Amino acid sequence: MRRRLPVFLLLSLTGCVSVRQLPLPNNDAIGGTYERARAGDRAAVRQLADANARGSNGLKANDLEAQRLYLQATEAGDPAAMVALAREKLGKDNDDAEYWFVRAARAGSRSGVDGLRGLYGDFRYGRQSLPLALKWAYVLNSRYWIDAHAKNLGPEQQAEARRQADDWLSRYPLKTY
Amino acid sequence: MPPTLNVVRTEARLGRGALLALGLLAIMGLGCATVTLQPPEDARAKTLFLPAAEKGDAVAQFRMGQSYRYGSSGVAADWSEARRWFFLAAEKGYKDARFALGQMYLAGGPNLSADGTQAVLWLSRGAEQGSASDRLWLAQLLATGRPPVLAPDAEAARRWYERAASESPVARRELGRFWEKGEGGAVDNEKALTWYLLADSATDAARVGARLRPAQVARARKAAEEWRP
Repeated sequence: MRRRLPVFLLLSLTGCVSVRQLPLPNNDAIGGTYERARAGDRAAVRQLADANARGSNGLKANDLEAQRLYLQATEAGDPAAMVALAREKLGKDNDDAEYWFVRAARAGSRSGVDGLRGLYGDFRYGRQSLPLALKWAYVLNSRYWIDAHAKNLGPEQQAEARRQADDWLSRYPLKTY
Repeated sequence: MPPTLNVVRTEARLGRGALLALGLLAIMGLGCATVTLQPPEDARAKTLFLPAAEKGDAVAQFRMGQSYRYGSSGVAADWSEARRWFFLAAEKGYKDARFALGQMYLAGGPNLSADGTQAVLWLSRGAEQGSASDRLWLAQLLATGRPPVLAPDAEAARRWYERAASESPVARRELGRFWEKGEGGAVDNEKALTWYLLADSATDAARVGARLRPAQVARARKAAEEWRP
């Protein structure tokens, strides 16, 4: 047993003790992400917009710059930026929110389609239309939302919503981003 | 008494299994400690950006400005320094610095009074050399204003929307809204329809088209077909 004790001690001291140094605060929005955005990477432009919106990665919240960068990313065709702009407008300017959700949906964004489903399915936005909400639920192929919206509609309305969804998907298939 | 003898006696009292359990506990309890050290000194602004900034590199000057503006990369927030670096880069024509300077004047902050005129000056310079989305952004800002520093200016907003319209469907749609609502000028639903058609905004076009006579709709469609940026 006397021989085993040093082994126990050695195991405990050398096996698991770890030393960790805290990293420097993230400043990607001034460093790496900014560099990629300058090089024309649209995802990086959106990440920079996110950093400005949240006040992260070396920045403090700056809604004006966030808007400018989201617009820049949308003009470059970034669907996530379109959804971000739509969500920012939701409840304040629902016409604008709808416009950006539609553009994102046309680009094949599931979030854009889900935004439209919510816009028409939720009475708080003042434009509730269950047939349209069901159409977007079909586009999304979400069993939960299809059931939730369909139960308040007749068979003909359900069939029409399905037909419109199929028509949409034939023109604007969903994509994985 | 040496500690090893304690172990031997403990083995005698508790048995081998109990001692093994004690040993495992020792490994888990003593061995898995993590020693956390503070981060190294943050000198990124001084080592990565400052040398190039001092040589006149506009991008590095902009980064120095951002670091001082937000107090990051190892420097404390200092708006006077931020303004100085942004100004150097902006004078060289660096777009992002022009926007940053304009936004600082718009917001106002420590050692920098808010100044709507300076803000619009620098933001306009940024938009002049920027893309259609930059011009669109400025138009939206001018349309809504930023009280109390910047009052809404529909006429200026319309001019910037027109300058963005050639490349931006959003700007074309906004021009439709301006004509529909008479912002920055008279109401003209025919022109509104033209812009909505150019923006490919079917919902808006249907709404305005329903208010017009067929001849007006036809004229609006013709104008949209003939429109050249």
